[in-house]
Amino acid sequence: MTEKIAVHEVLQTLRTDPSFSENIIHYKTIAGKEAIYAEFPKQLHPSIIQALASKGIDQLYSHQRQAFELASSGKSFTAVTPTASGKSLCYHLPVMQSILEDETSRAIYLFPTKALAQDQLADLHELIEASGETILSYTYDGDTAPGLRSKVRKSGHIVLTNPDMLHSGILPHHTKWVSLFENLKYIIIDELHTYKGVFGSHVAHVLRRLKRICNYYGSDPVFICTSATIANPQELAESLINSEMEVIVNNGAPAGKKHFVFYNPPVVHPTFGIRRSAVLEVRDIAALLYREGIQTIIFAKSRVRVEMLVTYMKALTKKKLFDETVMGYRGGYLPSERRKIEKGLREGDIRTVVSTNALELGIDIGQLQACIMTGYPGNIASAFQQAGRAGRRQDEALIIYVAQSLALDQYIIEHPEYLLGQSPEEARIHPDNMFILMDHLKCASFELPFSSTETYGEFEVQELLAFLESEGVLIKTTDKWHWMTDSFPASEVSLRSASQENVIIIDKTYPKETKVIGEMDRFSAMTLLHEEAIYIHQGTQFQVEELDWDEKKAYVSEVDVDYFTDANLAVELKVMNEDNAEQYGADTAAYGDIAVLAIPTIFKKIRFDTHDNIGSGPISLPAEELHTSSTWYSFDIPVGWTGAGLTDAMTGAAYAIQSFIPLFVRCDKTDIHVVPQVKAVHTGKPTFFIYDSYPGGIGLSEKIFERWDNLLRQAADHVSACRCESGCPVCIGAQEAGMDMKRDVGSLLHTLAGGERNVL
Amino acid sequence: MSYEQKLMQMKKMLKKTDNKATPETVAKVVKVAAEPPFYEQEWLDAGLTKAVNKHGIVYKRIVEYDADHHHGNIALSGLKSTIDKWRTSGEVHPLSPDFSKQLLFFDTETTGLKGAGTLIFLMGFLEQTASSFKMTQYVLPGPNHEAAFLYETGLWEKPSTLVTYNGKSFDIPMVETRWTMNRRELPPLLDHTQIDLLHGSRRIWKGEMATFRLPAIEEEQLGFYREGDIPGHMAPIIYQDAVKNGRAELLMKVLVHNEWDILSLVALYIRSTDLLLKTDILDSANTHTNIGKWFGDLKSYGRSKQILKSVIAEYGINHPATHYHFGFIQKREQDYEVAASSFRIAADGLTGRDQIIALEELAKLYEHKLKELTKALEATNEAIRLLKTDTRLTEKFRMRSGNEFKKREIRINRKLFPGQARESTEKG
Repeated sequence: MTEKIAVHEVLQTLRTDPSFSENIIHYKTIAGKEAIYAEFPKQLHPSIIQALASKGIDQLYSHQRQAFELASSGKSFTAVTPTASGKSLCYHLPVMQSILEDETSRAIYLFPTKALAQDQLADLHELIEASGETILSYTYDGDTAPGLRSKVRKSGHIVLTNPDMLHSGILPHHTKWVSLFENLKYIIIDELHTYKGVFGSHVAHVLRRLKRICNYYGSDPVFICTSATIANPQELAESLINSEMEVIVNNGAPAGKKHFVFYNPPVVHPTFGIRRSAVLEVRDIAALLYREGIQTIIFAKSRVRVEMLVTYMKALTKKKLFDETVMGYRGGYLPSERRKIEKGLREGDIRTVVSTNALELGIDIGQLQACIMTGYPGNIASAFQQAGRAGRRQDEALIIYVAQSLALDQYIIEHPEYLLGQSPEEARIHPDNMFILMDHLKCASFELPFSSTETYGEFEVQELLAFLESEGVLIKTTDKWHWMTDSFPASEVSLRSASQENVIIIDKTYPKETKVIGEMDRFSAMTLLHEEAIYIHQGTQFQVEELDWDEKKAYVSEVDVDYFTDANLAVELKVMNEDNAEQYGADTAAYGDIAVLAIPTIFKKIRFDTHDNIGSGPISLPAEELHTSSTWYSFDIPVGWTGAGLTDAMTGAAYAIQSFIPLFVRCDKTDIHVVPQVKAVHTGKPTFFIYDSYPGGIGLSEKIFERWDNLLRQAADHVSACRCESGCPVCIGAQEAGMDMKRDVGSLLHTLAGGERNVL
Repeated sequence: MSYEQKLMQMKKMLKKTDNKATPETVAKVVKVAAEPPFYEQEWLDAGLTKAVNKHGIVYKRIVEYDADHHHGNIALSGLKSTIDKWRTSGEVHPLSPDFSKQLLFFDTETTGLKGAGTLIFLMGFLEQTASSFKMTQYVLPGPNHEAAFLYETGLWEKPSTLVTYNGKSFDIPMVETRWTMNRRELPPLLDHTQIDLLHGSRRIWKGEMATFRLPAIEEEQLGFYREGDIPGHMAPIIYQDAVKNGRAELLMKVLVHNEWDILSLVALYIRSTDLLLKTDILDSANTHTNIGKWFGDLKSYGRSKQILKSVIAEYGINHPATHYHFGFIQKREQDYEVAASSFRIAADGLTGRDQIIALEELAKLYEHKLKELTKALEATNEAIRLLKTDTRLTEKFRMRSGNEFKKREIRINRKLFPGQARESTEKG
């Protein structure tokens, strides 16, 4: 391969060639830093030193040394490590050391997915082999051969698994794992930042159960977590594990200078504020980088986009036979294919790789020179991880952010300091959720009877156990609560689904090849997956043929029609309990529990472009009730507003507010709902309700309760700053022309945010 | 009020401890033997007796059977000669007992199917005494009496041979789990010899039974029909109920269910042993062929041959599968002529995969041992034709076997007609 062209030369082209430069809104650089090294610890086992030497390592980065020392002194810790900073040595070294010092020592490695565990096993095997020692390490998951399982249980030194397997395959059968639990020295939690929201809350309980079992067998393992950069690694780790944790933030790995380019595709439809497709822009930029020989990774949000970009990029190489310089990379690749891509990247055979966010997780593909993000990945932490893929050691790296016509994307273009200047979001979990807590309390009771004085994690559970007794699940004897039904509680609890009963979407276009293409929470499903609904999945239209509400399955077939469907959902909100309230001037924000009763009524078929109503039908589904936590903001009708005008403005404002929630709490758009009511029963005033989509709530609305003023201000500023004329999907949702809705919404939001009125 | 609503109400009562310390160490809890349950008298009135040991209390039921007791159409008294038969046979066989240990017929009833939260609430053992049979059933007085319950069984005291039905995958691992859950109090569980009659039944009656559930075996093989039995899957609910409200009538029915299970174990053991070790034909040709094959797989070739031979003596060529297995035995013994005629009978009488394999063996024998190349070629061509037409065979088998026969055909042709080998290869 010819000598690589330095990144800054390409940067020069981008900034001077008018077809690119006019769209570059901002350009920033972040300085690089030198590596900080440390000697090997004195007690480090010679076999480990030998293994490291064979990989060309003769000293450690400072954070790896610090990790070893904390672990050796029995302190649990979290190491915050950017991509490619040698994070796995932070745990491999102390774990291997403990096994070489005492052959009975055991360790559990927990990875968020099965694939990641299998991937890491290869890496670990390599290190063990180089050490010349016998350390048995296995993955234990659904793929583990039955014949191997008993060997893993009895003699595996290191067991690599995932939370789901721990939850339903290991903990309920702990009596088969005595030698593991008696000798457990370390529990490794890799990719800590992925344990957030509902999934993280479940995992927090799985870990409380794990600690309870360890305690029963007399072990007190040290926890080692590694995390991508998030705002609150210590808080997350401590609430996940319910123990004091140290944090290693000073990373000794070197980093090169990073060039950030913020690129906004040109506006092609001023009225609706529509810009040129980000995918096409990415294609052109990537083609430039490809021609200049810059190794590049392109991130796209969906598989379809990945495929589109791969097709575009391959066009550049179509004249060459067997050319593999452009590769796609998305979920579902086999380890062998990954190895091939990895190798191709390392050796320079692959010049461009297009990926979904699968690569955000710690899969090792080495480091590239440039990274292109097709749109904002939804949160800063992910953006950091994607950006972290570019930059080899001390080399300079180029990161190009290409915005899409979406609210958050455009916000980032306007406020690059949001991405660069501040720390990434907090990752939050909410183990207090009653539903999650009770589910795992059952599992814990099944695993070991609770004593009549015992606590569970940080919870006083005696009253809850009495409740379970009244439900017929437990039996109380003199000093213990015993499990006494023939059910297996872990099989009734899934760690992954946001709600226990998501609706599964099944594509039956080809009857012999039905496949699951997605899932949706019950609530959204009522309006989006009712029979005859047009469901759009990654740009393809499907019609819902059948919705089996009891089984929670929606059967869809691909169609090609010129309309979409819009359903009306009658939502009734009932405040059950107001826990807290705060005044914002004359307005009031409150927080508490609500019951949401939703009844779908009718749906309309609406033609694209003209938005004509071309038909309608009833939806016959039972009402759904959701008990969750909520925050609401009520205000007096502003002077000069009529009821009808206010209703419309509040609807637009709710749209804008909803788009900005991910700026304040790390969650997906569907984790939270915003409902405007022009006269709420509870307050008697116009009120915005924001509630968690998950039964019992997962702490999202509680967080927003403290930040209403900020949220309203952000939404207000964004609506005014949006370049469309009268409302577009980027700000308040698509509007019919000629209505001054955008002005109304902006004015309402500014009023509420306490700013000047009538800014527009 | 819905479960959801109840939980939302409880939310207000949720209290947290402020410490992040480890939970209370269970080891520190001083163990005191649990008090008898409130329903003790009711359970004793129902027919249980009470035993006390150093870990607390346990309930028992003992039933003795006369020496001439019959279960179905099998006399329990046959057990003595069953054991003698094994002793004199000298066979190393999964159903052969360890003569140094006591033979115990064993079955459990549990509160669920798997996991650390499933309890054993009933363990029954049947042993042979000097003059009769004695069944001892131990009943768990309540979930807090487990240590005494497990201790009383003596499974920690004396190694024995446990005869079970599916015990290898269910009862024994379950006992191990319960033992682990009580290991602070109990002496270690001993390693007992296991005889799993489910495994044996599957070998013996392969192709004879649609299901190997114990009641089916009882009806078809032992002549025992249950009347007024409670279904096994009801047992967990019945025990749960008995502990909650103290009533024991239904629980006693579970004890009878367990008793029948164990009596069936004895009868099944006698019956299985007779089939395995008696030389006369007691069952179908298929059953005895299964048995002959089983001995062959266990490398007890002499007995295997003897059994297959007597089936052939009885049924002649009417049961070709016997000849198929007999062929392998003869081939082992290098009696190639007899082996070939056995495989010929098998190839003519069998269908499917076994037929092809019989032809393969025939071809091998004729080509390499008997040096009758024409016959080898005939068998090969027959197999090739069948592989083409018999659609019941799996695609994978047809591919793999087909390739091998093709190679064989070319090779035999080359040997038969050295000059034309080339041509034949090209055609092939």
